[in-house]
Amino acid sequence: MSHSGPGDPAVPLYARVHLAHAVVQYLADRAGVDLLHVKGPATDPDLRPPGHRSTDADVLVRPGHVGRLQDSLAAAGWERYSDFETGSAFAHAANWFHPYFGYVDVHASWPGPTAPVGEVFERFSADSEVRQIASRPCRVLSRTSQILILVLHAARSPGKGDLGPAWYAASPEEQAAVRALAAALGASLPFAVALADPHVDRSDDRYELWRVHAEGGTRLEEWRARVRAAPGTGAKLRVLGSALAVNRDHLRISLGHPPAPRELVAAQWTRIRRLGMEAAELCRRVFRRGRHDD
Amino acid sequence: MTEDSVRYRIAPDVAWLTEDEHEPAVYLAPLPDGPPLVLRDSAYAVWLGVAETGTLAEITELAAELAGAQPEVVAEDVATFVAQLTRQGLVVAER
Repeated sequence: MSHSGPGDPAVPLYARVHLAHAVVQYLADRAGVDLLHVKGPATDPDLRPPGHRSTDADVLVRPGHVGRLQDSLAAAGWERYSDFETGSAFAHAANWFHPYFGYVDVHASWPGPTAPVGEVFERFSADSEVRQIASRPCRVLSRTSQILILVLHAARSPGKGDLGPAWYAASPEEQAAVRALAAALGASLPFAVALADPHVDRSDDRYELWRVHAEGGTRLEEWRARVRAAPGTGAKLRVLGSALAVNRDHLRISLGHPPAPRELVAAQWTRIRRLGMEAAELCRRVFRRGRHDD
Repeated sequence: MTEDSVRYRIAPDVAWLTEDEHEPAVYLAPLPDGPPLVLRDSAYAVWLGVAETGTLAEITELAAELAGAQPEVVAEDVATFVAQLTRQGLVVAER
């Protein structure tokens, strides 16, 4: 028997991911937290590309239980790597790290549906199933919900590697069920973006945000899309504010330590300068296009 | 009470999985703190024996079969290792 230290290659990453799911379920049970395991080992094997092995564990937590789970993770020696607001444009997940078990994404919501998060969780929870992950009972999504999750994930992942077995190999009946679920949860737009549907509704305020994530774009294009997608003036102003402010979580990760005030100021100037340069480049492109059109 | 009446099983607060594709191994961790452990070779066989059977005789028989050896050849090592797993709280003995 050999013991494994932090990052020890004797325990491969995929095994740590399985064990991480089991650890999170254990902590959730102890804290009375309701959650669903998604992606990775929580997915039917035939829906994943051959040889695909996850690099982190994902859980979707019942609204109102997120704080309790995060308190449990912190008490068990996990470190928060990024917060909901700073993790992604969709502000949907916080990323936690443990030296033995690697990364866990704690999802308060899943990007895509416009239905209230509580309604989405209930829908996913209603037909969930129990599966053994690392020999521990974990609740996972139904097959229909699994496919929807993978398609919505592909909508913000340029490689779209998940779509082959998950969507194109699905039967017409399965595809119809997934489409119906997407419509019921208000997720038809990102669903259409993921499938490169030519009939996608480009007039939707959220279209650009999904397009930028699916196809890639500059930082400025992403921020413009985020402002456009934010509902209401207050939300748009908050997005603008966060566009200009340096992301403390990302800075801490890149530095490898909590940023000192001087490092924060330097990073802030770098960010503003970069956004200014991207804005100038965008103006030049628009100006050139205008002259060309003349 | 004889040793044959003792049944062993994996402790309830242990997560584990097997790797069967390449080099056979069991990866396990006491919950929730770990650390992860790796069992290979005869240790792997004993763990599967505990998971799938119960008494020391049954565990020994399965471990011997997986190792391609006679039960009497591996019996002492199996008993020692099961006792070690029990002391570590990874396996529980039910009398």
